[in-house]
Amino acid sequence: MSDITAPNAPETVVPAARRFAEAGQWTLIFRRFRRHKLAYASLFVVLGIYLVALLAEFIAPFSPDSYNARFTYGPPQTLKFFGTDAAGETHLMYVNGYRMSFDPVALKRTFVVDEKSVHPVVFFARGEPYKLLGLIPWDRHLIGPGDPSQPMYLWGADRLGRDVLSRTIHGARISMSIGLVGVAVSLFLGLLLGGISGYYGGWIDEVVQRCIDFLKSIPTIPLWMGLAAAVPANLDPLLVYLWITIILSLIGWTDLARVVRGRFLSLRTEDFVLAARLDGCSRQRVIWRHMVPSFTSHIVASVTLAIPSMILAETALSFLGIGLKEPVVSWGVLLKDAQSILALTTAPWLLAPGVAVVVAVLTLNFLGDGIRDAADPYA
Amino acid sequence: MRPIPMPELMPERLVAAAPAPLVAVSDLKVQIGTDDGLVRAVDGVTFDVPRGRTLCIVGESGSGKSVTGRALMNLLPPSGRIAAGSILYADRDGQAVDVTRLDPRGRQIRSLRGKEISLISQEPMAALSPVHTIGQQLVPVIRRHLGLSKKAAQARAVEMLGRVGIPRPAERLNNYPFEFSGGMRQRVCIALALSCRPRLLIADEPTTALDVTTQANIIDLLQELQREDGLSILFITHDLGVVAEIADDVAVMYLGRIVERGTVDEIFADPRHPYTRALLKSVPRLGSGRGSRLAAIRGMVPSPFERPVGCDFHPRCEAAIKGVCDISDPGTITIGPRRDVRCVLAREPAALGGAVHG
Amino acid sequence: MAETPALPPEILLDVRGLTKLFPPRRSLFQRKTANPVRAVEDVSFAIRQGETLGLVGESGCGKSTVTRLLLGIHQPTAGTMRYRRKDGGSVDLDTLSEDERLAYCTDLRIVFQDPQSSLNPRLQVRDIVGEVLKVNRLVPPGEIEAKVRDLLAKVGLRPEYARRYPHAFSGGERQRVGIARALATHPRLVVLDEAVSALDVSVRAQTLNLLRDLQEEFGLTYLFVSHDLSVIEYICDRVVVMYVGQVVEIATSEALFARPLHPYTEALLSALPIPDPAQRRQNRRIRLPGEVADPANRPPGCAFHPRCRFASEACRTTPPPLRDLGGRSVACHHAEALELKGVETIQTGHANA
Repeated sequence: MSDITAPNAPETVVPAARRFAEAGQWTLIFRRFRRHKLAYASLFVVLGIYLVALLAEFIAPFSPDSYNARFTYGPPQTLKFFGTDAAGETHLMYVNGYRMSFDPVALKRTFVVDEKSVHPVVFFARGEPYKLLGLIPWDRHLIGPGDPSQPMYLWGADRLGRDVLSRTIHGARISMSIGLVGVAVSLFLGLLLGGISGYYGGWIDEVVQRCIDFLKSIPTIPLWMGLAAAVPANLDPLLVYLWITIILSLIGWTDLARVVRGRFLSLRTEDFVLAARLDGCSRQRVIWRHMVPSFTSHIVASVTLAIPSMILAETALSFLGIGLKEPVVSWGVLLKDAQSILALTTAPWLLAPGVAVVVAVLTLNFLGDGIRDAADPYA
Repeated sequence: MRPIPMPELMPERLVAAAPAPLVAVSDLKVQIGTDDGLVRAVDGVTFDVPRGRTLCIVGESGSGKSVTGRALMNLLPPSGRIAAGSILYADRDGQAVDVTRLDPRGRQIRSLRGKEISLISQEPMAALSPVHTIGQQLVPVIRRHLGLSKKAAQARAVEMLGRVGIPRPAERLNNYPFEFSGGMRQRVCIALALSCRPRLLIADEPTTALDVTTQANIIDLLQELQREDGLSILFITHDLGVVAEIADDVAVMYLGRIVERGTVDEIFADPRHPYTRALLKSVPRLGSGRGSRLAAIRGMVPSPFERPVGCDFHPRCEAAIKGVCDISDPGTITIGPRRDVRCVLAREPAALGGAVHG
Repeated sequence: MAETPALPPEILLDVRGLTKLFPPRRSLFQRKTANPVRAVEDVSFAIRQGETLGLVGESGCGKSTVTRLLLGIHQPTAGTMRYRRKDGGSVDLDTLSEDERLAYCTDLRIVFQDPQSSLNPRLQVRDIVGEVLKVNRLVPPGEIEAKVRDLLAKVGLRPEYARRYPHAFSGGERQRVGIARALATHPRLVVLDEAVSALDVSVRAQTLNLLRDLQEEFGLTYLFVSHDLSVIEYICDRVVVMYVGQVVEIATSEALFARPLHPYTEALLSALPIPDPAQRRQNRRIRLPGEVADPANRPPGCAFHPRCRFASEACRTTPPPLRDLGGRSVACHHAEALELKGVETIQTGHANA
């Protein structure tokens, strides 16, 4: 076999080339993903948002229900640096206090920021006690007023004098996690039904697909309203949360199932799947060892793209009053406060949670797009 | 971009040989950006496409033959660009247009494409829109380039389909591509390409995906059209048998460069480059039976990022000379009119080793 | 699994009357009455131990379907495939259930056409080649990698490439991995389904030589499916020519190329481009009108008659049976009378017959 020699490149092969040769699919996918700058940046933003949601009690200056009736609809106080207070002390960070003013025309009492008063803001401020991660009792907050009796509403106050920033931060926990839980349920249903549909084909495929068509043709908002109305009104908030999640995921699984089915159908005819069967692999082994790894990356992409629609759905439901309700804090619930025109014109900062929703949804979409584009490194 | 008047730019050899070639490519370099870096897909090729004759570019994967063909129409992928060189096309008024200087998206190049230079490629199904009928694809092209009325354009389309051998062409104008077989689709693509009577047809592996008998018919068709219309053909392929069938002139490419150029008889009867010889020896010949053993070329085509030092082919070459071939690139050595070889042994065929055939 | 009369020792596989009809695909554009697709019709041939049998034809001829039937991917509509087991007895493969079939998956192996799609891009080479060994428990798990490295060396690849993924290899190298996978279980019959068609010309030569060497070393029997006649001539002992699902001619390689008996074979040989311009100018090619017939719409009588210049009334009405003619087989009513042109042998330098 003299003319069959090993390939040209001598084995002083560059280590990078060998790493590439031995790089599995996830390494290749990650490499491709990193080149997509927007998606890569979005990854960090999303991770940041989840970190905030996890450590909400610490990061938020106040607890979500702490209120102060003296400062209802207080405007946002900008964080400023290097100010001297009345006592002559200079502080690194501070906010201006409020001054009450009386509008004779509208006969209304409003708050105006008082440029002259200086209230210090410090890191690791002492505040309300809580349990970090549900376990560790603590009372320090990342940022807070130096004097706990003074107000600090960086994003303004709502109608009960509650800090919008703190409530938004706490809301992240519910809103972001509902996406995850909902998607997990959808994933299970989607994998199961999509897999069966795609692998077996034939009449099973027909039946499942027509069910999906039927479900997708039902108008979502009326369906949700109907299902949400069926949830008992006096149920524990956590149970309500679970119910809403299930309701949302009942629709969401259809898209995932379609993706899974499509992948199965295209893989069924691939030579390497046939080769596995001809090697003597059982059907189970062919599915799990040979077919599924080929599309896990696509699943990850689809899942990442499904989360934003869950978040938006929860926000919409709660905003309409049929999803989560007070005292549960989610972005949708917060936005409910912004429903009236009066509130909007006098206190536009109540829409801040909406900004949070937009940021979260956008970055998740970018992330999902990036993963999806990188998902087929062999294409 | 004004076309460059011919007399100022005509190199000596074009003046000497008559008639002047239709396309004169000079030191063309094309770079393509990939994930792993910039690839010199075409690295300095010089050749002519004569009028009314067929030039075959032969090469394997990675040789740059397809890129060369498309560069002639400035049809490169978004990450590709012509880095250097010129492509002088002699248009109908006798002016020489440098295709490399034209804006790839500009009006001038678009009036060249389809009307003066056309392309057919390997997969006819990919070239035809599946949701339009053949008529809906042929007629607008004819109208655009030739300015005919709808009726006249349709008549011409029918005529074209008939010429390429599609039975009942008037009826089939209303068929969709999937209603044709593979060979028929390729004929439709040829009809589409030739509907505006271009002077140059670039055929990029048009028969690779077809059956042997269909391939033979398509080759016959192209030769017939060439005879009738004086069409010049640039035929790109990897199949040496097809080259022998259809070529008048041949250029052999390896790693982005032309390693040997000559008429088809010269290349087959008297190949001077070791790669050409090795290729010819490695192809099974009908009639040689099982007795002889195919002489395979040892090693593999190197990655374009790991170009060998010196001559591109030397690591795989039977006649490589140590100290010469691994140090410096031989450059192009001209051994006759339009006959050049990139090998130091170009003038010494005996040194290249044993007989090519058998 | 019924015991069938044993095959003579030199025959490894005997196929008789093999037929496969695919139900017609319902589609909105099907204007004609939907006929089943007669992919394979009444195909009979035998593969001898140690030989390389070529299966040649153009698109729609059914050669791929024959390989799928042999490997058990499809079930035949009719006909038998009798296979001689290692212990000398015979078994009718067509009577086996899917699970019973799996018992022979180590003895009958396949090399696929497309090096891109025949290797799982998510698995390392050692897992791809070793899969059959693991699943059939032929080698203890700890020794699989060593065995794979051994196989890689046999096909001319560096043993350390066992840890690499397919994307790191060129087309020719991937095809060698496919060959290593096929040989992992020391099979007796290997089906090569257009195994060199997707490779570059120079790599093709290397791979063909490798296949020949491996056949000698391991005593393999090959069923070589291809549309490329020059490759078939180079590597095959005997050749089966198929057209639109039927066998039209069977002969030894020499006899077929020197003097074909069927007009289709003659046309195929004539259509093949010869890499020799001087010789090409001397040959006049036989131009076949029309296109290859559609297996869903086969012409009545002899399927080739619309394109055959010798077609007579009998050809239009009666399908010619595959019959024996001087040690060869041919399906043509006029086989004795025709004097068909073969390939000029390069050594003799003049045309035969």
